[in-house]
Amino acid sequence: MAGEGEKKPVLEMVQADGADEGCVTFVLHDEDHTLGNSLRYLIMKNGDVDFCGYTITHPSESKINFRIQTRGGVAATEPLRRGLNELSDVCQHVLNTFQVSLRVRSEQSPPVSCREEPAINGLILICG
Amino acid sequence: MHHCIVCQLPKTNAKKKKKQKKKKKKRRRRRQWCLSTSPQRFFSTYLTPTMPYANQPTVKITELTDENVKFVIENTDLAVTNSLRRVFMSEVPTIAIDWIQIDANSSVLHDEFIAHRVGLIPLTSDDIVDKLQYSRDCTCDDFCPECSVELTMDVRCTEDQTRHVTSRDLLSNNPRVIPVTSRSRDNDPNDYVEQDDILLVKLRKGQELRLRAYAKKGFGKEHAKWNPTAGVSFEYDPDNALRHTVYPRPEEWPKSEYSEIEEDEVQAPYDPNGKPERFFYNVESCGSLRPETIVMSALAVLKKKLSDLQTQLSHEIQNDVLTIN
Repeated sequence: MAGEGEKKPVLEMVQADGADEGCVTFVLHDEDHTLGNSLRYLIMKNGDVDFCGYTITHPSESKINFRIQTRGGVAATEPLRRGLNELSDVCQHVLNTFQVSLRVRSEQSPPVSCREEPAINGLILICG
Repeated sequence: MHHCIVCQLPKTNAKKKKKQKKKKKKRRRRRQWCLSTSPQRFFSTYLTPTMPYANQPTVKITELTDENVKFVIENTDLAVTNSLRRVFMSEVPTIAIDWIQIDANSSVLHDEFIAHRVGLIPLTSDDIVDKLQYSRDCTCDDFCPECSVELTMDVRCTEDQTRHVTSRDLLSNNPRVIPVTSRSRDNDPNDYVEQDDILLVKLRKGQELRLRAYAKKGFGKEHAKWNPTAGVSFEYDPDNALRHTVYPRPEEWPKSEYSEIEEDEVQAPYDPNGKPERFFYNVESCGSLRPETIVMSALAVLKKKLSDLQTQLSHEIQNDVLTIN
């Protein structure tokens, strides 16, 4: 089901025999609590999800087992896909708000040291 | 057949008949909604254009200097903000020396000792690190200007006095990638900035140190030399209203700078239904990147990880569909 040959797979899906498509364990390689915990939080907010959890199988290996169980016949890949989109949106929103806040700050206060000046001029040019 | 406008399911007949018994004078729009929908299902379908429960965090920068940035994030959760903190420290790429060839070393420290110290020197990575490729991804054989920066050092002690070999003796072929401590006097020679050069080794008369090094792009997960932060301070619930910490004697502990209670109060009253709301960050940079660049780069890295996972997931789903069909 998974694998791409030469390249290391980043994401694999493991399903127990006899279970429906609502219960899937995803194996994410090269990941840790950084993505695991935040994805878990966002996916748990989804009403269709019955169970969502992740575990780091062994601290020497950087991979996580991420399990999603849904109810109502929804495929388990759907909450994962939505969770990824939502987390990406949150990051984009924080990035935009941070940049706006930076711009507001640089327009308000004059430059502190001569070294900071080139950066602030650059910022003012961007906002036009 | 009437369909619920929210969840598009056909309306059940059982409740419809029950409703028909009652005579209602007013025609209420609510009849169009599915009567058998549970509240949870209703909310999850109704309030979800892009994000459920509108996870729209707000960011307020409270302080910005050359070395650190203090900001506050609200309307989000502990899991997401903690992930952000982890990314600041371990996944923001910078440039540091990763390959050293020592041509001569007659100092008191052995080769790998000096190599380790040289690797830990922070190099100015602003603007360059985005354009540089990872060495493992580069098409060149060994090193090239696309994926690395070459630095050299040639010091020989000829006087009777002890010669201190510092980071200022490290010379780069790219003037924008230099040791952080060498940067201060370049802009304004008259402005004496309180920044000492990093001491590597001390040489006696007749001892010398000659080496050639390549600096590469990397991030903190691989080795701490690529960590752009000197420290990330992360705080929430400054008055301990959620009792995530239980102090044996609360009066012993100093108040946080973000505390909002009176002078004589020691902790805020216990709030059993509270959740962590406001998160106070103080990102201090070691000098290789500007602090605001660290934050923006971290968010970009997190987004890239998520988009990579999304493409992988769609490939997996397609493979699944193909094998089933």
